[in-house]
Amino acid sequence: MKVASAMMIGRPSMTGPEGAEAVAALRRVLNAALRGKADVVEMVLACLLARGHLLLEDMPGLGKTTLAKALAAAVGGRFARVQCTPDLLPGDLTGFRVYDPKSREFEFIPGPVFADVLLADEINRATPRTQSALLEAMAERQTTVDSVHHRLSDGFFVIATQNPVEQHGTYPLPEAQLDRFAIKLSIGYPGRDDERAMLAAAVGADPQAHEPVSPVIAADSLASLQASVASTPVAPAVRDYLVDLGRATRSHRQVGLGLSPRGLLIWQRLAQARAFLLGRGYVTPDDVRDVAAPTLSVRLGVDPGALPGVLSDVLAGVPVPTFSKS
Amino acid sequence: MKPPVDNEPLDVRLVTLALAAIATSTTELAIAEPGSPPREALAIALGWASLAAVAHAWLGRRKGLSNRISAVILAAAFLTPLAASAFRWITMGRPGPMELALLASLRNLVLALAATAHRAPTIRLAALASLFLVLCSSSLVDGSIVLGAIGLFAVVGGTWLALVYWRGLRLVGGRREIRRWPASPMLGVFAIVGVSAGMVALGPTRAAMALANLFPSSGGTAWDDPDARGGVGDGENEVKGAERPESIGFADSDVYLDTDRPSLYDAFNDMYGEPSKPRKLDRMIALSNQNVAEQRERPSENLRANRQFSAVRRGSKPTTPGKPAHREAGALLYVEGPTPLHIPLAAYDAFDGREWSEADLPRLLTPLIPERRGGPWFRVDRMASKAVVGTVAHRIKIAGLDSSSLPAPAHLRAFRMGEVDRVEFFDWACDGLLRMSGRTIPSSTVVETEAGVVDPSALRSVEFPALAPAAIDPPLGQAASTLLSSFTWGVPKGWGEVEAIVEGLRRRGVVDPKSVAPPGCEDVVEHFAKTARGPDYLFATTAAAMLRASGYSARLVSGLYARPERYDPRTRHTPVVGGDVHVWVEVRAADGTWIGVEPTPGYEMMKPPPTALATLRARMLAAWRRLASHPTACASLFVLTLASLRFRREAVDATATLAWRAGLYGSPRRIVLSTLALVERRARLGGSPRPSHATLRRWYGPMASDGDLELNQLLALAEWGLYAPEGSGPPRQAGRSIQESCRLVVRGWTLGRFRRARIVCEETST
Repeated sequence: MKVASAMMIGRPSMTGPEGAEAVAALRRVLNAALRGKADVVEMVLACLLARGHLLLEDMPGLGKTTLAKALAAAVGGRFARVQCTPDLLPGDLTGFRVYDPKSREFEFIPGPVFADVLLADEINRATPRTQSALLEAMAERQTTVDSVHHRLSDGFFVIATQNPVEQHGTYPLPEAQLDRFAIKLSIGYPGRDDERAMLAAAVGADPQAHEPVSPVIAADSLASLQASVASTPVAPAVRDYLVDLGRATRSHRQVGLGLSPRGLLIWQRLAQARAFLLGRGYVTPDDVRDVAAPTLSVRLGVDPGALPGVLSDVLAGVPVPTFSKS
Repeated sequence: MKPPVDNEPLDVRLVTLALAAIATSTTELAIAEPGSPPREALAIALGWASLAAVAHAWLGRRKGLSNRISAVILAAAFLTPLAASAFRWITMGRPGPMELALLASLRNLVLALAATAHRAPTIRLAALASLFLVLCSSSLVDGSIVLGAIGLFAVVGGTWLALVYWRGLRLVGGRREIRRWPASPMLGVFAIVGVSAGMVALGPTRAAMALANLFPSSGGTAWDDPDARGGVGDGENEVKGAERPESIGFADSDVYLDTDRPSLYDAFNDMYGEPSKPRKLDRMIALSNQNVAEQRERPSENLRANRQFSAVRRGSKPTTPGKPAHREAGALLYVEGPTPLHIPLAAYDAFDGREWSEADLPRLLTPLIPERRGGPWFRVDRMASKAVVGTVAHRIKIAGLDSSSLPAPAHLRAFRMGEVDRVEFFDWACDGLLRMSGRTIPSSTVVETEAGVVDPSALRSVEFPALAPAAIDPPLGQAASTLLSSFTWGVPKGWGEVEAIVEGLRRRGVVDPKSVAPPGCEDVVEHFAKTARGPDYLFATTAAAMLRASGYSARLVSGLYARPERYDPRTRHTPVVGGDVHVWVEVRAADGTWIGVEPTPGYEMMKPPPTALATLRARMLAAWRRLASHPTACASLFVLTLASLRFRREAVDATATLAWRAGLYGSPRRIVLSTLALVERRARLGGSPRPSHATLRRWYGPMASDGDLELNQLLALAEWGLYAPEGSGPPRQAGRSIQESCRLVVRGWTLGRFRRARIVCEETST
């Protein structure tokens, strides 16, 4: 299974000490950029290794851009940032063709989606048409401009943000488009000690100067890590557990739209990434549960206030496989 | 946290409760004592159903009853009647009918299922169990009420099916159907079906008639079966059976036949021997020719049996040594209802020292008022005495007795005899005793009676006039007078004196059927006063004579005695055989009521049914006496029970640990999983059972948070054993082997440690 998955992805897998070192380096960089948020960093790493896209829903000034920049720098890729506004056009994201008088041909000018890490800030302020263009690129890792398909980077990773409080003049992402994101996270305010350490570090520092982040992993190595994650074994009992959980979301009385098969696939991949990050060669029900909240929060059609209760109900209603299914 | 499963809609649960209530009603009708009014059973069923409804509402508010609690409730409900039966066996020596205990258990199970039926599986199980119970119990009961209950169950059951189907529908979006279900059309359809079925079953044309050609009957239709037991007409075999009553057993039948059954006179002769007539030497004189001609004609027979009762008899015939004993004759009667029961058949109020003569007809005849209540009944329109309380119902089935006297308890209030609805069929044999006019009661006749019971505590307030002794009675002899004086010395007149005489004879006399009065005895009372031994009729004769000598109006009564010891739990009847003929005494109160007294030891008058509190007290006393008679065994059992209860978890854990040690071999994965099973069992026994939705690490991880390496290692090993693919190696164990790690955990995490480490698991990962 391991070999087959690796071949499917087309990349050699990276396991053992080499993979652990690469993960540790990534973790170190992200933790340095986002102080005191180790659990958020773990989820971001899981999302990256699962080849998913990340939706951050939080207040301004909590480090969303910092996290995205640090991630882009750490993986050694190109970073692009788009501030979404209502007048942002699809071409502003995907790129456009301009007429070159010299060659008398239309030349394609690539947009920000051709970066390795794209930060789409306040994505819910873009019009649905623009959102659709970006979401097509996220889902298919390609874009089409004037009937010409353009491949995106293999490691194309989108970090989109949205502000949960200022809803006036926004275009909330529909459920079908939210399903393109692997997880939704809230960074949250740092702890008291972390804020004190942050202030202490800022004393005497140049506000304009940014600490340069060196790439700690090459793009090819990231692809190898992602192949390793995809080949992490999942026992049949754990797969059954995932299926039962997915079905439980569909039959819950407060859930209007349950988990889709695509969501179930992403959930399994995230659980594999979680196991990989913990240095374990197989997936346990704990891995499935660890990534349940960010995975389900982005794709369950449920009132945001009721989400914790629904998650609790779903997880409490499905027996964990132990002896009976082992 | 309980699994978040939605409750079923309220209407489904209510209809399920209704099904259980109907099943409970039919069960209570089956359990009720024969002859008791159905409204009592229905009232009890209503109480049970109300209790279930209240429990259902209360449990519903708790939002999620755990499966364990539900199982405990169901088990307790099911086992309680069986335990009560066992308790009754221990305390009273009789477990009672097993089928009734099982029915009660099933009834409790259905009620408990209905009370806990908040979710779909339980509701379906409750409905299924209700159906089973209705079928079981209705097969044991006859009558239109059961037919009505079955029809009602069919209607409500149909409604239940429709509701469950309707509520189970979902829209495309996955939501439950929230529109109101078409209640009016559905209820209309079921009402039409139910009314039609009811008309067929209960209406003017009964079901058998309406379905005459659809089912085989016992005859009279195109499709008959000779072996059918019911139907439109009387089939061949049924007619043949009716001609021989003994071939079809007892039934409410109006077929009157003459048979060679023993009469009461025969029964007395069998029991006590024939009357001993003194030889008299008569002088013969010549008659005229005219008189001789008259004498040659056959004298008219005296067909009125038992006009006299001789207190001087020969005694029962002894069995010949070496010959096999006689087999006990078949029963004369079968009594269905409370016992002991005295059934008076004849009364005698004139005594000459040897023989009693039958009492005359009363001057004022108590009228019999026909009543119609499920059959032709006759009410005895007699003034009620304040000493006669309550009402007991009996069904007395005539078997081998050939008598015209109506076998009914004293203080009769109402009776029914088959379909006889004419008052002319009955008349009074004497005061208080009915008989059939001019004929004997045929075999297979069922006499249903309702009679009052004398309350002994109320007799003190009843006046018993003590007049001068009757002049026709022979005076008491010296020994009898002395005995009477010793009984009544210092006792005031009235019931106290009557009681003193009766109790004195019971205390002093010894029942000895062989100790009869000698043939030439002219004063049996004096003879009995000297010997203090004899059969029951000598006790009764002496008591009656002493009471009459004291001025009370007393008479001798002969009849039958239904012994409680003969009760047959299988048939729920008390047979009355030839050996149960009996003689006792009745004393007349000032209001004209004849009060029975029992002077013979070993016989008891029927007492009013005890109150529930008195019954409980008596049974507790009996249980206490039984326990007190075996103190050592009971104490040992008690200590053993306490110890086994107190250390049951330790015992289970020790057994499981021994089994684990014995099975500590095989693959590393097997060893790890068996160790995990042992740890999980200890956690359960220690009060921290892992919920099914909690992972191993989330449940046991916090317990191992104090740096317990062994448990953490076991968790890692368990995850490997459960979820790692085949061929992958176990995680590293700090230089220890897997067996060693498992042993360390089993040694370190004992039952006591799990008890101390009770914590609340983090329920979810959110």
